[in-house]
Amino acid sequence: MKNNYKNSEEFLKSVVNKTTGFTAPKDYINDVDDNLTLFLKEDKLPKKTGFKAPDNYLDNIDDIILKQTVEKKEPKVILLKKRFLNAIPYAAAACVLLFFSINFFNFSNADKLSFDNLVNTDIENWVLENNVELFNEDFVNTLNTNILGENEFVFTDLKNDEIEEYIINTDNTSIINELY
Amino acid sequence: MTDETVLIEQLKSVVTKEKAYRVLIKLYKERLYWHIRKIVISHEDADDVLQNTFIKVYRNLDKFNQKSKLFSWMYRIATNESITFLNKRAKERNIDISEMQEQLASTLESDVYFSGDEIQLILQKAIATLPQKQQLVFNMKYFEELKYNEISEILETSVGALKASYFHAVKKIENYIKNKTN
Repeated sequence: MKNNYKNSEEFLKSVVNKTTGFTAPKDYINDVDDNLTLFLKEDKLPKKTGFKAPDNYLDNIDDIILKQTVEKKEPKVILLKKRFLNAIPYAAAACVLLFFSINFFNFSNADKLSFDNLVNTDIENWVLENNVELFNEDFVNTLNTNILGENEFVFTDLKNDEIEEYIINTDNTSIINELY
Repeated sequence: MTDETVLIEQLKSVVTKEKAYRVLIKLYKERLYWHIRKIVISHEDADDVLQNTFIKVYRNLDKFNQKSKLFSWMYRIATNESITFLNKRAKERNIDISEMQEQLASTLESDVYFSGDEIQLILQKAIATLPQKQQLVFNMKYFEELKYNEISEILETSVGALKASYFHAVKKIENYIKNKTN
């Protein structure tokens, strides 16, 4: 009987190689050791932080957050383009107003100041009232300074070849027309 | 459909957005507040960051692509907002962010909104000495009891790296406490 049992045990050992067949995850045994060490260390540490919050803080924080998020009215964004388009009628009105104002100012000034509008009698009156004496020399000086001299008609910059080129390139009728 | 899926749909619809947003605040305000508070330490700063977080969530609801859970997405925003806030403060004071956090932890004794005992105070000071990532992992795992895969989704880091971070954090904290209490 005893021999039979021994034989069977040896048979089993030879078949299953004395292993259970169970396996453990890689590094599990090392982790157990570490975890146990950690557990013993953690066990000595306090489990509470010691921090506290003011009374009712956590009850009231909802309203504070909501005021800054859902209840907060977003500032109205006005697009520059829209603002620009809105300003156009006002700008146009301002331009028209400015145009008429300037013109009115100019026209009214023109009426007062233009020499064309001065009547000869007004000039005579002004000369008499202001006791202005005009002599022949004054007229001569005025004519000398304002009337063009002969030299001013000389085209000193024109060269002969330019004149030739003009004559060649311009048809005769055009030159005759210009002379007349 | 799950509750979260329904809530997301309501948040994305113009008609139901406001109502759903109110629900969202109610659901997550407390968890997010304590998460932020552990990072920025003072209540006033946590209040600012919490409000900024919810404002950012509201403005970016349309951009939420549902690749992660709504909860993870909000946690990620809260974490980023907290770190940005700390960086800004550190820059104003011309110091490093880790130095900044140690300074903040040192003010806890006089903080009216801190009622921890001596060991809790030492623990907070110990956390403040950790690198930023280890602080986040420790707070989320130890105090908030989040699972590694949840933290992985929030911080976009592999579970293996998180486990290593947590292990190092606990070890450093243990050493810090031993030094302070002996």
